[in-house]
Amino acid sequence: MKKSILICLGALLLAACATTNQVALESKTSQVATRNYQTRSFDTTDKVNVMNNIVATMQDLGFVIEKADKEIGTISGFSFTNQTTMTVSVRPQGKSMIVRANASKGTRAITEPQAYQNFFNALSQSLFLTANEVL
Amino acid sequence: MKKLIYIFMLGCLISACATDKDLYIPDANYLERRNVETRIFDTANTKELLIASAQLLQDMDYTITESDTEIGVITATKDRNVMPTAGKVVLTVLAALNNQPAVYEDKQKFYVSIVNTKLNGRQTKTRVTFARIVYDNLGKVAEIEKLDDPALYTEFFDKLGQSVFLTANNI
Repeated sequence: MKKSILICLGALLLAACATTNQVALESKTSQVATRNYQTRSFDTTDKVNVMNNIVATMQDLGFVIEKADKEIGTISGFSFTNQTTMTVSVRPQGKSMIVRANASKGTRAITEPQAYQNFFNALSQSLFLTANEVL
Repeated sequence: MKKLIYIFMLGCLISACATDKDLYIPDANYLERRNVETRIFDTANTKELLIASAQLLQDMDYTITESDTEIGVITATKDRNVMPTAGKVVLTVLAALNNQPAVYEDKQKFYVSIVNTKLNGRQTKTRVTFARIVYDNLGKVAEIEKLDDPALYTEFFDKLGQSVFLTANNI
C-alpha cells in the first residue's frame, strides 16, 4: 500500500515538473488563448494618451511604475498591494490601439482571465473608451 | 488529522484561484488615495517639472532607475537601514539570552515613481507613489507595503514646489 502511494506521488511529481525549456517558453499554454484574454483594442490613434491612462490606471490599482518607453510602447510596474508585476504594451493597428497586459505573482503567471478583464474595465473607464476583444 | 490537512490544502488551492479573480479591481479608497498622491501645477512646461522632480529625488538621495520624458515618468529607489546598529546589538543579545536566533527588520528599499501629465495648455498634473520592501537580517522579505500616509505626500509636494522654484532659478 505504502509502495503504491509512493509510486503515485512520484508519478504526480514527474507529471507536475516541467522542463526548463517548457518553463522558459511557457510551452504548456496556448499562445492564442493567452493573447485572447490579455489583449483588447481601443478605438483611438492617440498612443501617448492611451499610455498616460494605462499609467494612471496602474497607479489607481496600487502599482509603482518601474519602466515606461513611449517608442516601444511598454509600461511596467509592481503592485505593492497585491505583489504582482505587470507589463502593458501598446501598439497601433489601423485606427485602433492594441493594448496587451501580462501579469505574474512571484514565480506564477496570472492566468485568470477575470483579472485581466478587471484591469481592462478600469482602463476603459479611465479612457472613456470601450475595450474591444481582438481575437 | 490527515483529513484536516487535505481539507486545508484544498482550501488553499480554492482560495488561490478566488484571489486572482479579484485582482485589479480598484478598492473603495482609490479616489481618496489619488487625491493624496496628486497635485496640479500651473505650468505647461512638463519637461521643467520633470527636471525639478529629478533634482528633488537627488536631494532625497534616491537613485534614478528609469525616466521617459514623453510619458513623463521618473522612477527611483534607495536602500536604507531599518534600525541603528545599537538596536540590532540589543536585539541580538536579547535573542541570545533566550537561546533564539536573532531575527529583526534590517534593511529597507524605497521605491518612488513620479508621473507628470500635461492637463491642458496651462497645467501639469503630478502624481507620486511611494512604497517599500523591508528585509530581515537573514535577507528574507519581512514586509511589502505601499506608503499611504497623507503626511508623507504633503511633505513631498512641499519639497517639489520648492524644487521647482530652486531649479527655475538655477540654484
